[in-house]
Amino acid sequence: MGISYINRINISIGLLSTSMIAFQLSLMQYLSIVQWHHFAYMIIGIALLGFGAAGTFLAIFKKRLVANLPFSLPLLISISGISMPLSVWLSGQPIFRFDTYLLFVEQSELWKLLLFELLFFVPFFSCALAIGIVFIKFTDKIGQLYFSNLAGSGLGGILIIGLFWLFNPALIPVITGLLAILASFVLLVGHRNPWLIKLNIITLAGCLILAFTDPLNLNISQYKGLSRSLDLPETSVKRSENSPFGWVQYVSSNVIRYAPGLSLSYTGDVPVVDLIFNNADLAGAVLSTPKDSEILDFTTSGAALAIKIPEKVLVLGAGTGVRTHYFSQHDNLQIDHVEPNPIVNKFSSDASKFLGNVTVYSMDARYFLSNSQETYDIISLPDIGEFGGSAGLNAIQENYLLTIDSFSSMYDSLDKDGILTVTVWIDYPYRNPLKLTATFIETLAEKGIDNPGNHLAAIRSWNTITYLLKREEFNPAEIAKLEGFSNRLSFDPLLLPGLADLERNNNNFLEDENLFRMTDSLITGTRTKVYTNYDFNLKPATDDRPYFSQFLKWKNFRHLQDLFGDQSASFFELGYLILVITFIQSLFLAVFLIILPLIFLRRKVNNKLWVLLYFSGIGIGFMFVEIVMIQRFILFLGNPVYSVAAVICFMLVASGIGSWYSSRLKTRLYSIQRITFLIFVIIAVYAFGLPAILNTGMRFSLGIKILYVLILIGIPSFFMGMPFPLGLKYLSENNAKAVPWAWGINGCLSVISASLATIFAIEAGFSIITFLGAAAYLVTMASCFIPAKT
Amino acid sequence: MKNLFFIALTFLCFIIVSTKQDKFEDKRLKMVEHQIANRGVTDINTLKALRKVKRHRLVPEAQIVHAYEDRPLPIGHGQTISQPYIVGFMTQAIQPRSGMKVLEIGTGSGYQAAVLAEIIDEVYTIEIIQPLYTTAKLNLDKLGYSNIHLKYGDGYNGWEEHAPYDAIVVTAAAEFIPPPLIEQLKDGGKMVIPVGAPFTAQHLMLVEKKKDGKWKTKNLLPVRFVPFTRS
Repeated sequence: MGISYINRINISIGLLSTSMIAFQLSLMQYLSIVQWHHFAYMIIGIALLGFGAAGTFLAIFKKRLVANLPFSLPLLISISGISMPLSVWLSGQPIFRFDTYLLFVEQSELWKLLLFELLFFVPFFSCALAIGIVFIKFTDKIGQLYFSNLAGSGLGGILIIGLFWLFNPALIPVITGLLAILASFVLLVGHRNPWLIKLNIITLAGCLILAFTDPLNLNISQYKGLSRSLDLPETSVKRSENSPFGWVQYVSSNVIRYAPGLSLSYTGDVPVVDLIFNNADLAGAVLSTPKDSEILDFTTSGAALAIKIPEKVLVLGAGTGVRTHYFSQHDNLQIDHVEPNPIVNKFSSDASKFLGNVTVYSMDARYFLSNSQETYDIISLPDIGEFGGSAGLNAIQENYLLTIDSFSSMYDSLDKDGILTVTVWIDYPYRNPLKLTATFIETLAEKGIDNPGNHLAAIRSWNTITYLLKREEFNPAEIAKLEGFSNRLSFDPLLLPGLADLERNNNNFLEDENLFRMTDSLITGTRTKVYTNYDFNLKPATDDRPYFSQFLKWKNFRHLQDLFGDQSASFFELGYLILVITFIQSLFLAVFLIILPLIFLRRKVNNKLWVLLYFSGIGIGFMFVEIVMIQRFILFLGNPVYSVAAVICFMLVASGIGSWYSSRLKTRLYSIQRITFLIFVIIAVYAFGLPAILNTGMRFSLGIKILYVLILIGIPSFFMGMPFPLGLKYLSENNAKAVPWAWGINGCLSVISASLATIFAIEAGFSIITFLGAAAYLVTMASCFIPAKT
Repeated sequence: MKNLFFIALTFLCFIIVSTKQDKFEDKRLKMVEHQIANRGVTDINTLKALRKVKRHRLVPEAQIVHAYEDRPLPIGHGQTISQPYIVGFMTQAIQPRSGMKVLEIGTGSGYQAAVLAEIIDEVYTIEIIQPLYTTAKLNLDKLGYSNIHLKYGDGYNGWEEHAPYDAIVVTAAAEFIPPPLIEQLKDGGKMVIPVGAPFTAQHLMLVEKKKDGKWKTKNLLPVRFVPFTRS
């Protein structure tokens, strides 16, 4: 006896969901490579609105689509599968090709952006339509079907990790497309319509040809580091490898040299280097020989070694190993090199072997710090910012290395007279150096140090500043050595205990002396005033708001536009602006998609307010909680890539189990109220208690940590999987015409929440988002009190 | 009749071309007046040169209509042609005058070289990106700049054969100043470097090589950031 049709649908929906999540994550990587990750958010946000649009479409054309389900369902799944590689291929063609950097420069780019978004809308829309038809047709089986959808999605999160390791980024959409076609085949077993089978076979063959001939090109933006480097003569890609940590490329060159902020007193040769790129962004330089790193002696980065002969050095975020090589040149020195990206470690150490005194750790810096008992003479951090400024492209990138919590942890890992060293590129208007100073001051204040000026030193060249934070106060001998170092290389001291104002602006004259004034204000105790009054956000990042590079204050944006012009002002904070544009775009589209079905179904939908509040609450609540969980567990598990995969998988599978279990419950508003209230309580506790709970397990072994993850994610997720199927079932029993509308509302709100959550995270922090997520479930609960109209 | 037709056609073409030229000239004069002179660039030589150089002949075809707008423009290969005001500010910073010899690192569109060539005797310019070099050479030749000498190559080593220079303009992003360039600068010479992400030019770095061979850097601000609260 064969598998029943409903079971085949379950398998097919599971496979389709797996392929769709895997495709979504591969698309994130693809767009991060060819553009920037902010842009990836924008496109994915619009593409996911396909789910909302599918609800709208179904609300209007439900009858025809559902009546022809045996034909329409496999067809839609096939379209979804075909359009996955096709959309990626088309996006590289000249007519569709788009550049984020030109968005604020060329009007024509706006139209291209719309076309680009439309391309990626198709696979999501057809997938959502397929899932929506099934949910509407078999509402009595919604518990199992929703389980297949969620569990399949969860597995997609795991599958993509494997695909990232095995395949080129351009090939993965072909594979996910094939998986979707397979989902269509599952439904077509025993089908009498040969037309669909033929279509699938042709598509399958087409995808395989694509896969083998590999015609999908990565047309990378001309403004990305990789493109700009490859424009140089005698420069080419020598090695390339993909992984969940990114697509890493090793670029060999005869004309690229490395000496950031080199002293003008230096008259020797500057070493030629190779480069490593991750997702087409520069990961760092690779030295031909470790000895080439000695050039750093002539940059401000040499300040730490100018005053201290260390025995043990910790290099965090070690990247391509330039700083590691630099320290390893000194005898009797043990170095711990900590870099999470294993491919970057492999490529850089293959090209230029570390000396025997280096121990390499392929792990996250914060994870290393919380698990290591060692103390160090010097802790070295990666350079902050980019030469000339980064156009705000890192604004919405979480960075847990540059938070007060992180600096506090590094401070504890310093020896009694240990030094923390970090170099910053000078930007204008001043942002990075001032925020770093603020972070140092807050960290020292947290440690009970009331004279922070005696623990800080900073040396400035024409384009870099190297900061030193010492656990003990700097002594007169060290101050004299730093002054000597600065004079010898024609740098200027920015911070030194007892430094006179006149000594700061001699060799490298700054016309705008605000850097000195603001630095002094931060140190002398009026820092809260500086935070309030400065045009940019200088408040240090915390683990709850880990956005070191976010400087924009909306109320002052007009002022920046007046000063620098509309276009230039946009390039101060491109990342955050794109995020807000994404939110506004999706908000308008979502409102349109939610209202549109009501025009057609005005008289057929009762209790509109209940439907709207109930499904909006679930959409927002689930997404807010998911996004925060991912962030909280990144620090706990110590690996951003695997944490994201684990959280997505555990959360969706546990929700799927909750959904399955809900099919046993009676569909009554009273039970829904109890479940949603329970979710509210759990999430509200998590909002402020989860970081403390996770802290208790930071030093446990991985096995116990996984147990923590299973319990802490499993409990709320199990319950969070119930309100959607229960609500849909309740609706189908009382107001069946409204089911597609409800499905659409849930989809639209989920998409809006993704960008909204990031905006809240930047402005208010993760705890507040979690609480808002809890509140959203409370709205769902409260909606059940709205008296039903019949 | 036939001849009359050709005369009329030639006349018509002349009218169209001259109208077009006038249109750009008008835009150019307005650009110098509103965007550059009004913002504090006062050097007469610089303003004169900016009024003369046909910027629209040095930008990609798609950008011709924007050539005199107050902003940087994309020229391909991830590079931009600077905002006219920044070009004016940079030119003024090296105090150009007849008799000088200037080296430019990063020809780009060729606009900066053309502005310099209107004032000084010899401009040497090096471009490392082949397509940009070819386009700039073609455009500058068409415009008849015989005192601009272009070289395709790596700007790191400068152009030693013609050294020393009175001034060096480094328009390509420079994380460090190559030691050979400092050597090729005359004592008392000036080097200027714009610092900023593409489509922005937030500040300029001026390196002054003193008579005694020592040097000093100076951060110049085309647009001074005045914190809002200070007012």
